[in-house]
Amino acid sequence: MIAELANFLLIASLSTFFGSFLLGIYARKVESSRIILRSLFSNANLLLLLSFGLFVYLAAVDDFSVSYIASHSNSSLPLFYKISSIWSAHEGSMFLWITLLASWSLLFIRRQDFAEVFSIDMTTILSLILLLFTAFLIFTSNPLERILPLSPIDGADINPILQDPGLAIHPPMLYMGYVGFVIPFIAALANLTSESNHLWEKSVKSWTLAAWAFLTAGIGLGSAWAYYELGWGGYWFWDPVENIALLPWLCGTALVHAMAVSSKTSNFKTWVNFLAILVFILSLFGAFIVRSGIIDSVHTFANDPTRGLYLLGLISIISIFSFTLFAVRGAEFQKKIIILGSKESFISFNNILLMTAIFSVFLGVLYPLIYEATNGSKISVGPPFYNSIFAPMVLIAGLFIGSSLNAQWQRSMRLSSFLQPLLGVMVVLLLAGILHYFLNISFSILELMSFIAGTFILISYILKHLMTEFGKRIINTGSLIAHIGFGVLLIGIALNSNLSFQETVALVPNNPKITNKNIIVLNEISEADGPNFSSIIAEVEINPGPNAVLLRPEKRKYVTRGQVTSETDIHSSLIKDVYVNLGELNDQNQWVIRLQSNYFISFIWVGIVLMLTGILLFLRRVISATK
Amino acid sequence: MHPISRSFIYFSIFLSFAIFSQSQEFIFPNQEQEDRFYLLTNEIRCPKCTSGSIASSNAPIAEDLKRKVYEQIIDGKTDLEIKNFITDRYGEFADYRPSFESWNILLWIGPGIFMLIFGFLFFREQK
Amino acid sequence: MQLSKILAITLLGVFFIFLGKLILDDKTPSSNITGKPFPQFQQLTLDGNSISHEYFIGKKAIVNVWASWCITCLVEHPFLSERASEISIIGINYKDDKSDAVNWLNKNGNFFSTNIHDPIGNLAIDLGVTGAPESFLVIDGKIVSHVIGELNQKKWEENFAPYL
Repeated sequence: MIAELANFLLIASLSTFFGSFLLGIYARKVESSRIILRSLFSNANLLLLLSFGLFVYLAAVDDFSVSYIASHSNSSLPLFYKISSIWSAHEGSMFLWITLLASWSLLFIRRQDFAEVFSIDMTTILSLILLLFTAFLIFTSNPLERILPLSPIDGADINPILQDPGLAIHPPMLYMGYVGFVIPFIAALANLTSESNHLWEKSVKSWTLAAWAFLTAGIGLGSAWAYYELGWGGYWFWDPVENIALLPWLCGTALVHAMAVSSKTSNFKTWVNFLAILVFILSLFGAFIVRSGIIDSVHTFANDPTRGLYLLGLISIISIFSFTLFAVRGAEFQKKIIILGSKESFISFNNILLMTAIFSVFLGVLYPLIYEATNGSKISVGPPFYNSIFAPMVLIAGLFIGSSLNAQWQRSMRLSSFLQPLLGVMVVLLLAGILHYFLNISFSILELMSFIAGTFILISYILKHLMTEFGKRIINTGSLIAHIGFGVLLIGIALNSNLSFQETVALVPNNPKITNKNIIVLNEISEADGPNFSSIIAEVEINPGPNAVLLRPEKRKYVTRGQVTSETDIHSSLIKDVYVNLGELNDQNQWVIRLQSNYFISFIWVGIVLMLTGILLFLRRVISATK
Repeated sequence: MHPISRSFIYFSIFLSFAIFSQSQEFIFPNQEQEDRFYLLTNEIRCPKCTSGSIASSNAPIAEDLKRKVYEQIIDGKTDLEIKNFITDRYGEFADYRPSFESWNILLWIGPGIFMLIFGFLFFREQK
Repeated sequence: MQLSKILAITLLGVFFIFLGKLILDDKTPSSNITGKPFPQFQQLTLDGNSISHEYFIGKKAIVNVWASWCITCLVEHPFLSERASEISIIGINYKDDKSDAVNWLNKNGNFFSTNIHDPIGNLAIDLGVTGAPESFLVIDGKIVSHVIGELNQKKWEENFAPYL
């Protein structure tokens, strides 16, 4: 019965969203109906949340009469994974996405003053978006469908690769980021429709920052999960799906920076509208295009072209509407000259670079499609392309970030302000020279670009700090920490790429093998049983002696699906991670073991954590300033 | 930067590659050859997989191609010769680094052209 | 034109490319090997005789990549068997154990003119093979057409019949 109730609530919320959309149009003129609009919209969202709550309950109590739960969960799973199985496939993740969108909008709309037409318009647009996606959920991908009367006794099990806490929280994080960008989107649209020169950026800035923080955390978590769980030693793959998740992040970054200009000066008013629209469209892309089967990716798991067509149609309607609105109404705002060397000129460069990055990723994803259509043969655009394109952009970005520290709003930089960045460049080059001649590190050109950018950012901040009077704040703390984090990330990427190496050996127990750089011993092989898998565990000792590293990579065989996974064991330190993977027993009765030495991975995680901390500190500042 | 594979959410398609069919041992006389092996296998796309390089796949064909790359490195073939060996048989599709030829030039210089045009329009627009 | 309009139009264009791709999508992978001469090789047949690429000169033949462990090969076996009366079919026994292959042929019927034994798949790689089964039409030492996966009536008519 509960499944029917949940389904009923879902349909009720769909009709309530329809009601609130119609009422929203009416309430523009008739002020007395605004109070009803507020409660109608809130109730529609609450109905949706309640329906999702029931769905979570159904998953938790193993109701395998619900087809989706039967095919993605299993009674032997711990409760935590029963719940996370909800977002392991299309229908459930779509439901999660809509629920998060509804909760986020509910929180936002509650704080709005309904005396303004601006707020009414935002509510109307939100109702329409929720209406469209809830309809899509109910009619094409309903997760509440039942298999009756022959419901299975047990579920089909969740993919063991997904049985990982990091991965269980990664999709909701990412989705929180995606849906969060709906706020600047509706604000921009409401601004374009209502003709009022509303200072919308201020009221949505904190919401945009929060969405950006979630997305940063989501991408970072995904990256860390891949590194620790997939066992390939990599943290970024330039897989089409990662690219498409990166797009809203790049655009969100541009938007947050552009908002700083539009709220401080009268520039960028039109431009911010555009970015706000684009960031949400890219988020929709990120959340749904993956599953449509349009792009070749390992992530494509709901390969149903009709459903993909509906989704793409839906996204197209939203984009055509909003971009047309922008093209017609967007140019009516006043503009001012951007003075070179001013803060806003640096942010202009930031935005140009980020737009170029977005363009490059799109080009890389689209080029094979265009090539195939014109030449009839397939081509692949992969990591070498993205690395070669991103490295120079990162170099330019780093140089601008480091030089922009002395810039001021609407004023050109004094000549003497260039002294410090110049000094910075000299220190960086000296450092690169020392690494090259004394530590024998020879960077490739791309690695060098990333390294220079990263160190230049760090050194500029240090120099600026030293050259400023003691106790005087040079820049707000959030921004300071976020940019330093970016610098650390770039240094980590460059050094990791330059120094890391891997070795594969085949070993019999207690027979040490000396490779080019290590001595590897397989101490023993043992067997053990887990809750729903059996495993083979190897004990591997690297460089026996006082500094020996002992690792226990594992191979698991899952009972339900018979799937085999490899559990990597990692020994991490600040400078170097040793990463060991257990392979098969080969025909000479030797165990194949892959050893990777990954350098400066910790810099990458520290960089991301610093960026996130910076964003959160800045968010706190923005919130307290608006209070 | 490392072209090694990684990914966010791995679903059912991944399963077929996660099952280790065979793992081979490649022993190199020197580190330089070993480094080249990892660079090359990361740039060659697995022809039978949905996405990913042969380095990140354990599909039988990926294992065979890794062995071919290994043999040719040991034989003293250059990176270009090895890449050509693969693309002659499996097409441009198998190379993650599109050649800098004919229409592909537009792909490689596209971002640069975009940046110049967009930058020009951006500053002009706001005046 | 204004920047905003240019951007809006460009982005909408991108959508139509995606939309077009979704509508016009055909998943047949193209082959890089058609039109090229049959690769040079010198290998043994399952009977232990020596065979080389010169075998194909002046002949018209289907080359079929198969293995005893391959399930789809068993599926297409009856179809190939019907065709064997019209055209000579040469097997490439792919990454297989010799005795397994011989047993498989004894059990399921052997219509192959001859079978090239390719135990580690080197010849198959030279042919751009990604797995079994795959079939090629070879006319006078030149590869004319290539079919990946199960060979059936439909694929035969599309890819091989026009050249016969």
